[in-house]
Order: sequence, then C-alpha cells, then structure tokens
Amino acid sequence: MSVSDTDVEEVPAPSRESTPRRRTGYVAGLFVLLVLLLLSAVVVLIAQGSIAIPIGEVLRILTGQGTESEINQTIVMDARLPKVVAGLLAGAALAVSGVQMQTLFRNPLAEPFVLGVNSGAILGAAIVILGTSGVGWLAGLGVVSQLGVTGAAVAGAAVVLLITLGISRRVGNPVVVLVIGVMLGYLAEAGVDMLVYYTDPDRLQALTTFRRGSVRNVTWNELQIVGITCGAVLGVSILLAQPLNALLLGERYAASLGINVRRVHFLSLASVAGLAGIITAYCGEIAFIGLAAPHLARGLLRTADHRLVLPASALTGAIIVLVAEFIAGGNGITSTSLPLTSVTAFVGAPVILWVLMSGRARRGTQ
Amino acid sequence: MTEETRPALQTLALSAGYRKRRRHPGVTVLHDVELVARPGELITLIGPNGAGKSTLLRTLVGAQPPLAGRVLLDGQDLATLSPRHRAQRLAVVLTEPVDVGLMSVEAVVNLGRLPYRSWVGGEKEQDRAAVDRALADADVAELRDRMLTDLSDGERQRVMVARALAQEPAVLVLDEPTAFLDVARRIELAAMLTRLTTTTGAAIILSTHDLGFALRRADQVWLVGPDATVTASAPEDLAYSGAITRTFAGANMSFDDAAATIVVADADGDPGATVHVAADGRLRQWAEHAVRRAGWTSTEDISGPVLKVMHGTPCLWQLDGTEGLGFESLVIHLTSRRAPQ
Repeated sequence: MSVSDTDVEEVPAPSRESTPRRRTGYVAGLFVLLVLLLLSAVVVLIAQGSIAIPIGEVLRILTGQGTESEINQTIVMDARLPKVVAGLLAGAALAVSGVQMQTLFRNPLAEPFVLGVNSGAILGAAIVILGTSGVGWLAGLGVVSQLGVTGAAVAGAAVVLLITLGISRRVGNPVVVLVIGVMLGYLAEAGVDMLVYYTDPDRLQALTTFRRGSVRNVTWNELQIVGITCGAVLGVSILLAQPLNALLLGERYAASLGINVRRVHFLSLASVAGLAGIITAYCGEIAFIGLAAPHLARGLLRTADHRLVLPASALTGAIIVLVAEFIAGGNGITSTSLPLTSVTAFVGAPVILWVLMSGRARRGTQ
Repeated sequence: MTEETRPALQTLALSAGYRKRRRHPGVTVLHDVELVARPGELITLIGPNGAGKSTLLRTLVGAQPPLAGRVLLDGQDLATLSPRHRAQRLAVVLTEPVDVGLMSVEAVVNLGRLPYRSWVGGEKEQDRAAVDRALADADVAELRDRMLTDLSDGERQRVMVARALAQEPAVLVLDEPTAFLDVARRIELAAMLTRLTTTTGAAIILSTHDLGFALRRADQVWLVGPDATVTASAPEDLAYSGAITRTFAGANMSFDDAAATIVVADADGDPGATVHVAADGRLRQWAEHAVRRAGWTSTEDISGPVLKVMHGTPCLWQLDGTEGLGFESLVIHLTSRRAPQ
C-alpha cells in the first residue's frame, strides 16, 4: 500500500507543474507560425503574377519607403493589394462564421456554404440588383446601392440560417441537416437562375463567375465597406468566445451558468449572417473555408476553446484563401484563372469526409 | 443544525407546473410546496415517474417560473436574481451526458467560473484557486489534463460535479446523477456527495430512482406523491410511516425494511408455512432470504418449526430432523415441503 501511495502522489505533481507551461508555449508558437505563414502568403501573392516584382521591392512599397518604378507601385497598391486584403478578410470571415455555426448547430459539418447560407445571400443580392436594374454585378453601383445590395445579401443569408437552424433543432441528426442545407442551397440558387434568366440572360455568365468566388474584382472603394463591416462583426464574434464555450455544454448548462442563451444565439446568428452575407456580396461563393479552417485550428490546438479557436481559425482561413488564390491564378505561371471554390474544395471535401468517417457527425458534436 | 441557520433554498407556498399556452391547457403539477434545504444537508428527491420530480427541480433552479409562491435562494427571491447572480449561488448537474468535443477536464471545470467573469475577462488567481479546489473536492485532480471524451461515465459525472463546484454554489442540484452509473460508481458518487456537504457546506439536492440510495444517504427526503404534494421528512420517518410504500408500491408489492427498497410480495401469502430462523448476523439475513424465496415466512414464534443454520462454506442447516449443506438444498427442501399443502 505504502509503495503504491507514494507512486500515486509523485506522478501527477511534476506534470501539473510543467504541462500548462509547455501547453502555453505550444499555443503561442502555433499562433506565431500562423501569423508568419499569413504574412509570407501576403508577400508572395503580391510579388507573383503576370509581372513578377522582387520581394524586396514589395516590402519597400508596403512599408511606405517608396520605389523607383511607378508601375510596380501601381501594380502593388492598386491591383494586387486589394485582392490580397479581400482574400484575407474573406478567409477570416468565413472561418469565424464556420466556428460559430458548428457550435450553434451542435453539428461539426455546419458551414455557410454547405448549409446554403451563401446561396441565400446571392439570392438576396440578386433580387435587389435585378430590381434596381443596375448595370453590372455590383461593379458600377454607387456606394448607397452597394450598401443596399450588401444588406439584401445579409438578409438572404439570415433567412436561410434561421430556416436551417429551425430544421436542425427538430431533426438533430447532423447528416440529415447537412442534406437539408444542401437542398436549401440548391433552391436558392435555382431561384437566382430563374430571376436572372427571365430578366437579363446576358448577365447569366457574369453571375456564374461571381457565384463561384473570386477576390480579384474587389476595388479599394468596396474594400472600405467590407473592411469596416467585417472588422466590426469579427470583433463582436471574438467577444462571444466565452458564452460560446458555455454553449458547448448544451443550452441548459449554458443557461445554468448565467448565460442569456437567446441573446448569444441572436448575436452569433447575426454575426454569421453579416460575415457570410458581406463576403458573398463582394467575393461570391467561396466554399468550405468555414469547415476546413475551424477543424484544422481545433486539431492543431487540441481544444475547442473558442478564445483560441476563433482567432486561430481566422488566421487559418485567411491563409487557405490566399494559397487558393495563388493556385487559382495569382502565381503568374499560368495565364488561366480558376474559380476559388474549385481550389478550396480540395481542402474542404476531405475535411467533410474525415469528419463523417471518424464518426463525429453521428455523435453530433465537434 | 442550529435553528438560526439561514436556509440555502426555501420554497414558500410554491405551485409548480405549466402555464396555459396556445393549444396547451395550463397544468398545476405540484401545489403548496413548503420545503427548506439548509447548508450542508444532503437531500434526495424521490417519487414515481410523472409525479413531478423534474418539474419541481426545474422550478427550484429557475429554469421555469413558479405558477404561484416563491423560491428563495440564500434568502433572495429567485425570480428577482439576475441569471449571473443566480449562477454564483446555484449550480446544476444534468442527467444527459455532455459531449463537448476537444476539451480538457480543466477547461470544462473552468467553465464553472463564467458567472464570475465578464465576456472578455481573463482568469484571475481566485478563478484558478476555485478550479483547483473543485478538481480536488470532486476527486478528479489527477484527470485535469485528460480530454473529457476519453473518460469513463463515472469519471465524466465527477467532472461535471467539479464544474458545478467551481461555481462555488450554496445549492447544488443534481438531476438523476446515478442514472448511467453501475453499482460501484453509484456508491463512489454517494460517498463523494456526502463528503461534499461537509467540505463545501453547500446544500445538495438530487433526484433519484434508487430508493436504497435515497434513504441511506439523505439527511432529508423530499417525496413527491401522486396527489401533487411534496412531503419533506427524515428518511426513517417516511419509511416507518409507510408513506413510501403508499407512494411507490403497486399491487403485490411491499417495502422491505432491511433492504430499504420495494420488493414483490408473495402472491399467495400462505400463512401456514412459517418457520423460525435460528442463526445470527449475515447468516440469519441470508437464511431468511432463502426462506422467503421458497415461499415461507420467517417468524419470531419458536413454537413452530425451527430452522438452525450453522456457519461454514457451504453452511449446514437443520430443520425437523432433516439437514443439508448450502442454501440451494434448503430452498429445494422447503419448496417440496410446502407443495403438497
């Protein structure tokens, strides 16, 4: 007895001392790595393209030290930087939406694209654009009508989100909810097709390109709106980290911890609709980021704690979108350009398969 | 227990149930409930299915408003407390197992500190101390770095208790904590809860279907009867007065005082087949068990047949000149003697 007693007492003591410190170091290292990866993705994406610009010069221009070449200055600041900033915002916004949806739906497969939230946003935007007979697809619209279109996209996203959430509370089974979400997405897209086809068949092509996602056509003017709104909503989402942690225990436990569950649900749903709606209005549909980034972040961090998962997912999402943009045509090696979704599917689809195979979807948690 | 002790939880003329809603008529499940839970008491809540145990618990923790009357938590009306202040005094452990995904035991217990933090607030020294204490009190300190999903049901249950303790509650409510546990884990949990009443000073209220557990451990039993009332009493008073038998026992059932549980009564109840068991201690208990199983009744009357049982493995028994080894042969003998009657 006495021998085993001393064994039991001695083993946990050192682990309690060292584990938290090692863990803090690991988490900090991971965040540093993600930030470095993101920064290098930004620089490489700006340097590469149909005209390659030396990385040193890119850094000089970005840090405001000026350059001899006016052309390079224009390429970096007006052509490539907006694209990179848009990609960064889109990745972060979609990833943060994904994290929140997975917790709210208690479904590891929930994500704006998969559950048709993006399609709802497109439908909302399409109704306003076609109703106001604008010239192009967002391009050419004034700031006021841009805001109108963005608002409609957010509203469309919110409607689909509410419908799927209502269904998911009744059905419960994550895989069934997934199928229902996909169906809702198809319905919304069919609605868009009908609208566009009957009003102006010529714009169908433009819509198809838009729908499949691109960060290349976003201008500085548009970025001001996207940046401010997304930044604000991302801030709100980070504030929701602790209540979302409580929701991991289930709504009854969260309520017993003094959390106003309805208010957290409302704020979180509003922020998801805002982020997914705004990004879809300006960059089109970028699939699977909300799925791939959170699962990667949770796997790397080995925790579901939203205080860590939300920022880590935002960084991961931004990196994935920038890398996808590089592969999709920003590399200057090929002259073709792919839709972003065609690239992100290579990351997202395996994650869905992995979640389904590992049986997490059956248990209905993350 | 002094008279001056302020109740941790008290109900005043409480009626619990459901208000009238669209297409749902209002239902009063319980009325005129007067209960007092003092600090450090272990209280078990028992009652048949559907009598209103869950409704009462939900009303006591503020998850549903009372139809009439009041619930006082630490002397303050539950309805006027903000959810946050309520969570600082009252913690719950629910029946259904939680599945939080990738969370360490420590992180889950740490969630119990949320009522003390703002949405952006970090962990203070006080929070860390409370988490450490909760982990130690619930006996899960050595599991703190493990993932909740990797634990057994019993361990997970204890972690959820630790999470509740981290709220530093005056009242801890557990909804059927023994539901998913095997016998050994139940006994562990019972011992732990008894210990917690002294270490934390909290009043612990738990609902259970396990009558033996409810009666053996409780300072006070709240019995939810079929007549929409709740009787609060010492476990012995409830058992001795027959209140438990009246509430739980269906036809052909009776309350076995020794086992502290409801048993099936003998269908025929043949009064002629009585025997006096001459043995002591455990041997006597199990000999009487064998006698009952054979359809006989054990009696104090030594004028009739006397069954002598002697220690040994197997035991040696003697009855009216017949003798045998082990209880199996005894039951066969008794059954065969009863059959021709």
